[in-house]
Amino acid sequence: MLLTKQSLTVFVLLLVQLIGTFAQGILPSGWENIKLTRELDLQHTFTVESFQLTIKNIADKPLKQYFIPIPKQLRDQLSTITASLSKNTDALLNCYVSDTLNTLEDGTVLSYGVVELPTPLQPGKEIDIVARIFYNIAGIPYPSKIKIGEVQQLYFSTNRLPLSPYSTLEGRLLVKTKSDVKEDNKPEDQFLQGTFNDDTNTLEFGPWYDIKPYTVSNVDLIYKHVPALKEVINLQRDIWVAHWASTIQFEEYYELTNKGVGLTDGFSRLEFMKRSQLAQFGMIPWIHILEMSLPEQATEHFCTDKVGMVSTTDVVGDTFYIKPRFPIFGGWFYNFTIGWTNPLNQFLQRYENDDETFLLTVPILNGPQDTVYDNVNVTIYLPEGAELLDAGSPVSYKSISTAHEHSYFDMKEGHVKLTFEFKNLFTDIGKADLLVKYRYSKAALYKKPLSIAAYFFSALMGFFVIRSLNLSINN
Amino acid sequence: MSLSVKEKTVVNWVLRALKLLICIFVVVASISSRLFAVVKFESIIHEFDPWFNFRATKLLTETSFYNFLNWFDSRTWYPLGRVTGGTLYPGLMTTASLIWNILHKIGIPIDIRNVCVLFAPIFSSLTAWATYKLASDIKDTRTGLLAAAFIAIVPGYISRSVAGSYDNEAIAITLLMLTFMFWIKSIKTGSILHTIGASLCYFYMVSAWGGYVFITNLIPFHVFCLLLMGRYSNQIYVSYTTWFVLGTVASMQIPFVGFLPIRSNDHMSALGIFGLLQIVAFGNFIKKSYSQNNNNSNSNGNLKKVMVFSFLAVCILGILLLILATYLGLIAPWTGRFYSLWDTNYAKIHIPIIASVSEHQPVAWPAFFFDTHFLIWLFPVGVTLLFSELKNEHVFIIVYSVLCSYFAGVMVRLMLTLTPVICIASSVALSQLFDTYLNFYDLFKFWQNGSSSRQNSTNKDTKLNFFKFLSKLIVSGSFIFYLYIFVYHCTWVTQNAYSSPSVVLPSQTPDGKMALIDDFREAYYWLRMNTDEDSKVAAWWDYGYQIGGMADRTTLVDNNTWNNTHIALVGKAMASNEDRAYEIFNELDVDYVLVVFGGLLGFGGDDLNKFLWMIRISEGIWPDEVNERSFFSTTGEYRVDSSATQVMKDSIMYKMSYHNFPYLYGENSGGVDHVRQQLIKPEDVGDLKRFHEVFTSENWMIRIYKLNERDNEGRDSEFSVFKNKSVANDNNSNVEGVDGSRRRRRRRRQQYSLLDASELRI
Repeated sequence: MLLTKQSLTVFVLLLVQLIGTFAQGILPSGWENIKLTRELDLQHTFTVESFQLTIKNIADKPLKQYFIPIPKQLRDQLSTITASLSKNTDALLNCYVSDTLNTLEDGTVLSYGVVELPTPLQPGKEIDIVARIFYNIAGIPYPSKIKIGEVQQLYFSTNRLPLSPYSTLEGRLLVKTKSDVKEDNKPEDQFLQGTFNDDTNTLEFGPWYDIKPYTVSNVDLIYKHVPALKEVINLQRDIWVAHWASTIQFEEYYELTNKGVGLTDGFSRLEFMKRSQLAQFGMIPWIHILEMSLPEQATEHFCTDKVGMVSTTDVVGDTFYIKPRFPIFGGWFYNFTIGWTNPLNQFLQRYENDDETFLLTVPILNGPQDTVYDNVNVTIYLPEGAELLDAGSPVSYKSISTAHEHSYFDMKEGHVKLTFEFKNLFTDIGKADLLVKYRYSKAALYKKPLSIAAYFFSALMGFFVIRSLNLSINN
Repeated sequence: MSLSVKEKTVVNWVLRALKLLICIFVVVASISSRLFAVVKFESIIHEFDPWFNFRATKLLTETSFYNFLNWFDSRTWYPLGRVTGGTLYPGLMTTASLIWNILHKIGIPIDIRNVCVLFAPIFSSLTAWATYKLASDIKDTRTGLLAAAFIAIVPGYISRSVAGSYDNEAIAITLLMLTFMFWIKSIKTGSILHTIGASLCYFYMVSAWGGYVFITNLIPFHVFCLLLMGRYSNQIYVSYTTWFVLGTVASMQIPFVGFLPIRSNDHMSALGIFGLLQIVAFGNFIKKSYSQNNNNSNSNGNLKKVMVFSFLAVCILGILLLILATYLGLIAPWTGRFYSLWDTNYAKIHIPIIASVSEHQPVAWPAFFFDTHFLIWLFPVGVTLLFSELKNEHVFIIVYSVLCSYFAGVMVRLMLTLTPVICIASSVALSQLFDTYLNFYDLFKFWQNGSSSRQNSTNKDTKLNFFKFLSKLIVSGSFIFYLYIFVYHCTWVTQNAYSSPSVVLPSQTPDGKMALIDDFREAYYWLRMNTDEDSKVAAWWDYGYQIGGMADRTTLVDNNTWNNTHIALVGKAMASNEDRAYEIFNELDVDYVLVVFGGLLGFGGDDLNKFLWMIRISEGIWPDEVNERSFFSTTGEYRVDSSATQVMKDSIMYKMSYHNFPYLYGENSGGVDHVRQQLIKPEDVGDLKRFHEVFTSENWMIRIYKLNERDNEGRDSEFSVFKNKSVANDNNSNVEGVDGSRRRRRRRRQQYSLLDASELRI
């Protein structure tokens, strides 16, 4: 069981993107895109850009690195890059973001995502790759404000023709949305226009042939997007491991906002009540209910905010439903804290040959569906006296740090505190597990209650001594 | 029958164990019954003032004590601000923060909110202990145990000390009892140690509650009565002078009190008695040395005359000096609250803001029974019993009960200071009763001598008097039954009447489950999350502390009510028409206006019901601009429907309360205000031109409006982008859905009519 988990982890670890050091000013070259299909998925709060590539080495030496351009302004919102060979989508390739910046003639500044092939490709050979880039962005509301009851529309601007450092023989663009999508300011050239496919809710452009490297051409898309755009600006996720109670406690503090459409006339409760039935079908651009998918067997759920308990919560199966104090319209904010408890053995494994060393595997996120996270801090608190051996994450993190934190009855150095700092996460990526290996000796385990008992005993003895003192001047 | 030494030791141990057990039970009962509020609702700060105390405590935990004392709060009383550190009683906050710090030091990093919530229950157990000690000194330990048990669960005290009721009274009653406990001990023993205890507790009390003036006057009054009764003794002299000097000097260390003890009329009686005591002591000394030299009865008589004459002369001279000093302005005159203690109509005429507070109203008769149950009729019995023995400490209890009975009759909140003495006096009465009637020694004796007595039936000592036994059984049985009912009553009252945080209102869903009406927090949290951090919120002063504590926004006025004019200004704006109100609010830099509207739910404590007080208070300052009469209909009624006066309909309070309300039930049917039971029609409610609705809570209890912004050229709302929407022409209105929720709310409504609308008719 443990081995399978470990091998899985190693496998997932391939996802890790390293910030490569790439010599400035050297332009990528040497490849030719035989076929490039770029698919833009705008159905969620985050955006997925997939490339289906057939590429050919036209250089005179074997090549290993393939470059995918990323507009500079999107680099800060980039969540992750994955790539695989088309014939084996299970084996992920190594990907990272290059430091190279390239300014084009029209002023566009490009950065690059780099896909590394498992082995260098010989000149003249072709290979099929599938690459996906996840961005922590969505369309912006268009118009930015509407009345309650009107439909939310989003605006998204992107490149029409394939933008690549290499020349492209055949290129296509597909835009996938939840409902219909149309182009704003359509060009007159029929060749450039797209056609909408009702069955797949996809706007299909192309094919175009023989496109030069670095061809910049814009397309403005407007599409209906009914659900709210949930964005967690900050998430502080605390995970407390308790060996004596044999539980693991989760506590999460969210700073949530809706980056969707705002209200023109302020909030009218009357108008809102008239349209309250829409909420039942989820046909609303405001956040009405948050559905947190928790681990199985979670108990002792709670939800509070800065003014106390939120009483409008419910637990059905593994989902924790929270109705915020007020509906969260575009531009509104809501901070809250939730927590729950799970049995420890669900997340903790003991090594077979060493019963004092443990491996903890906890999911990175447990938040609501279809949500993006700007900053996430996951803090794991190990018991006082535990010794941290190793820690890892399948998702790239900004920083990792250790410290100590005093909690209940911690009289010495306190709980061991391990903090991962992430940027730009989204719901699906949160299913990955963090791994923490630590040693917690039997001595440390028993020292805790004994020291608490000793404190109580000395306090009682002190009281007894004070009671026995006689300071009266009569005798 | 005599017990051997060994048996006596065993009996003593059993008695001590029993006493300890009872004390533990009392402590457990006193804490647990106050936890209903947490169990039924949550760990939350209650009502209004506690929110300020909580905010101050939080600040104290984050900063140093001196910074706290120098705290200038620019987020209240905008734009004036408040010298908060110098105008509060820091005792409560300091204690809570000290507890918090100690707990953190010993490895219990508990949240400050939980310390504040559980503060009152913990201190109430201390009160029970102090009452036990005090009552034990009055009669015996049996009385003490009874008194402790009573004070632990009596609703009159619980009403201000449930979990979450983090107010000054939470600690003040404990300190009151501790001071009295030490005072009685020192009067009995003349021990300086006990007197120092009393002085320190008094100092602590001064630092915690403005009601310390009660002690400042009660103790001198007790001493005065003892002097009048001719009971001067060295113990009294030592106790009082030590207490007065130490207590006064210590109390002057509190910044808010400062030089009041030598400058205010409230404190003059203590000073007068101090002077008088010196003279009496001197007279007594002369009398003693005189009578040692002369045993002549005639000269003794002369001496007595001289003493009485000089006593009267000193009293008259003292009072004259007091009047003169007050007249010259050397001593501050009595405060408004003090005057309203003697003349119940005083506040209503002169200071409407004091009269407008519900806890400054006189007590209704049933409240005495509600708050103290059967103790209320045992109380006079106890006091009467004390008269029979009339020791010095008994005089204290008598004086305390007489004064407090009067005060409690004048102001509801002073019921709190009466409750402890009710408990003590009743326990005296009850323990006296039980001493006689719960004594079944005869029965045990009868059983012990069983066989021998039956053989010798002529022996009267061992014969059981059946009727005596029966009468004992009936009396003690009925009183045990009363005790049982008392406990039942206390639990019921605590659970149902005193455990509601009043921030959250309990309600029931149609299927009988408990649901919470959480509109206050909904709106406050909306303010906190979705407005600029330095936004200014105008609301009636009742909500000032809550807005500061929960919404964390700047307020114009709050429950501190230190500036009547500023409050009147807000009242005036609320009572003015839209243009005038916009002008006033703009001058005050206001961004949002918050009103409380109970018409949909039937919540009687809303702003329209308080509106008359706003009008009265602002009329007191601007009689030319605001006129109470113009808000009453021609028949002299306070109406809000079509027969309301135009001035009423034009006021922004009216417009903001009823904005969109009539359309809630359909296009033209109008809506019924469930508090005032009047029909509001669409044509009664004028459009808002200079304000627009930005938030209304789920049950419409809190409505928040924003002032339309002036454009770049300084033109206001007429040109603003925010136009008031008329929903009359909106054909999409889903009337059925809205009506359904109305029916559900009607069912909830009845529970919250805190104030009957008919009371407002004149």
